[in-house]
Amino acid sequence: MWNVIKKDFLTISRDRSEVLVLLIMPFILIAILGFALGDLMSGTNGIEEIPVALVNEQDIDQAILDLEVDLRDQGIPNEIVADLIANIEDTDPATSFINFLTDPDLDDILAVSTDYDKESAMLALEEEEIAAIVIIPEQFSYHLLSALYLDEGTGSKVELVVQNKEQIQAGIVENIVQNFNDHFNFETSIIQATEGAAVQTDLDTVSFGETVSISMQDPVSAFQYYTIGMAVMFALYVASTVSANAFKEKKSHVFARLMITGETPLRYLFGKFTSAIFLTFLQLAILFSVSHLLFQTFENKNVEFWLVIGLITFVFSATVSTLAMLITSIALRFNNDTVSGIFSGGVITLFAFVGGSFTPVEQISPFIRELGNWTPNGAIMTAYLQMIQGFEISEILPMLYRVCGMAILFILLAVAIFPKRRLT
Amino acid sequence: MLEVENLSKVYKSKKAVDGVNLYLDSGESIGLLGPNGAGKSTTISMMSTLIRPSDGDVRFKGKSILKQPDLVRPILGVVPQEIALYEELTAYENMKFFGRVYGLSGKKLDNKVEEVLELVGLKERKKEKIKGYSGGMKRRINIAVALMHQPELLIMDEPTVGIDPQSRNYILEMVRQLNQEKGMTVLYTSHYMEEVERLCDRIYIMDHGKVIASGTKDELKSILSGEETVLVEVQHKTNALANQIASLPSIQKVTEVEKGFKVIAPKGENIFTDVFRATEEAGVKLMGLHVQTPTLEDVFLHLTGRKLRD
Ligand SMILES: Nc1ncnc2c1ncn2[C@@H]1O[C@H](COP(=O)(O)OP(=O)(O)O)[C@@H](O)[C@H]1O
Ligand SMILES: [Mg+2]
Repeated sequence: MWNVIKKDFLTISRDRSEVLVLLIMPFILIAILGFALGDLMSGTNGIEEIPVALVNEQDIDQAILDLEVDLRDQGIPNEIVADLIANIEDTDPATSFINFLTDPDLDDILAVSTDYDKESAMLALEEEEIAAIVIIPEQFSYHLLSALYLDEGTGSKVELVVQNKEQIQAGIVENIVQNFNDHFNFETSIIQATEGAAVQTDLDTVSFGETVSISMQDPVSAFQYYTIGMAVMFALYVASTVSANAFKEKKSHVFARLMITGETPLRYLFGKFTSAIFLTFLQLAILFSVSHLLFQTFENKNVEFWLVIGLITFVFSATVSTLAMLITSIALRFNNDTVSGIFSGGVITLFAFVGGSFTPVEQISPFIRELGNWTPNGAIMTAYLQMIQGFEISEILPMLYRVCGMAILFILLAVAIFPKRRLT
Repeated sequence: MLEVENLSKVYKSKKAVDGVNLYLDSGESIGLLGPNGAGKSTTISMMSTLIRPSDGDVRFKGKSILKQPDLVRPILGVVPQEIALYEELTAYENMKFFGRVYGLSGKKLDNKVEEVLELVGLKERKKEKIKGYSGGMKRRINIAVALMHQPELLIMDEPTVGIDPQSRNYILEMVRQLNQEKGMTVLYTSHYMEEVERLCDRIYIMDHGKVIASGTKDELKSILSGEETVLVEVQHKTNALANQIASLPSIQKVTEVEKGFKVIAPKGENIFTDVFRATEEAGVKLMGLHVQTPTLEDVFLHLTGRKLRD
């Protein structure tokens, strides 16, 4: 097996135009697209953290004391009151809210500061040093708890003060607060600072849930995006390179020579598969590592990240190799290599576009994204990007299964098309 | 060792090989002579298990190899008509690759590579890529690759096509050595009768898919024993003269050659006076008349009315 891989590796690596297509071109494109579109990407994906001031005006101890008095006034027995109070101390809604905002999960999105009081925060907002102020009012917990335990009042409100409601950053903060509300079920009022008076917005009627969950992923940098985009696109060229090479073997009668040694056509076909896996994996490994060395593309990633990236890369290499088998099969069956040309000249470009290698196609149309996820490169690109965004492996697996499905389909087609009789 | 029985191959409606019978004994050197398109390569491909015959059988030591190609493959070395090598790889890498395909490895493989390189005389240039080689050197590596597994039977398909006389001589000498000193059985295909005449114990002559004659050189030439080949040298060749000679009742065949005409006539006929008279009538000066010993070329001419190389 190594003999065949080594031979294919040597023949291809010595062909200057192949090396140009498989390694040099993707680099040039990663560099150009990465630098040129870097700003554009960070604008649309909200890469910068949003500065937010958190002003906590309430005194929880006072709130509990007040509530305790209220509960006794209701004539509730002492032991029960003590029980309830002990419970409340653990589950203060204001504390939960503060914990939520300062959770490490939101680190990349929000830069929450508690150094402001109400006045200095308003000043900072005007100076645009911060994008929003979240205020927990004096009686926040008291009102909320009264509503809960005594069925009194209408609950409580968090105040969100923003400069301009239409701003993307303000919108994101709003979504996050709303997301919390959905769990704790209290109202939020939004005050537009420029207009002075508080304007209450009923957020319940608007569903931001989905947007919030997207904002909570790690952002993807332009270099990461295009390293993945170009890598998955140019890996497809391995398939046409290997098939063109196989056809050359047939034409130069080396193939016949191999058949005389007792090699069988099917074993030969699977030999192409192993060569292509090796070549694709090597190509992707080189692209990823050099991109990282030149542009620090994948900084601060842990071992688990690289293991999963390795797995995705292996799955993709295998899939590209099944494509190599399929094209080889067609070329040998019809004794004509135009199929390699069609693949490298048209199919790859089309797949690369639909799969999102050139631009995030979901911004053009979600339908194209969905379509792209049915190309091997598009599906794998989605998997890579999900990994970069910090998805769980279990969330990435469905895409990988889908690609494996495609690979199996390609193998079955390749074997079905392949001329299994001795070739002349 | 190897017997070919009634072998045929039909492509679409064309019969490339038509009922060929031949055999090779161990240690023999056999020639397969015929013009381009005679069906030599197709015959060889069937004998070397590469393509399936439409009809007939090939037997190795009495057993058919059509159903069990693996009987013969390990002892078979085939030098294809084309340069079947990896152009991007060096001679050394090509030989190593095919050596491994044949199951050689380690020290044994290294030794074999060196031994064969020595034999084909390309030891010094083994680290160069095939695509930089001359035609003759490519041919030699093409042969070298087929020798990596020490085959008992070497089948060569026009191994000297399109190369300089020096390389050609080298290859012919090499084949002679393999056959006579190493005892390798050789099937040598060519459309150059000199090569076959020089190398082979027995010869099969093919034309239009059929074996039209076979035997030792002398046996084949005895086909012409009743005939004589006479070279008619003239100052100018004219069509009128050619027609005139051809129309003489004593003459069987006339072909044009460089200095005049080659004439085949039955032995004993006195054609000299006839030819002399014909030249006089045509007004062409006769420069000489030579009786020649027949060549295989003449045999082919006799059998088909055509030259081997047209
Ligand atoms: N694969 C093929 N398909 C159709 N015709 C073929 C094929 N191979 C050979 N032929 C024909 O069969 C005849 C014999 O060819 P070949 O065996 O190559 O002759 P030779 O080797 O003596 O020059 C030729 O007329 C050739 O055109
Ligand atoms: Mg031939």
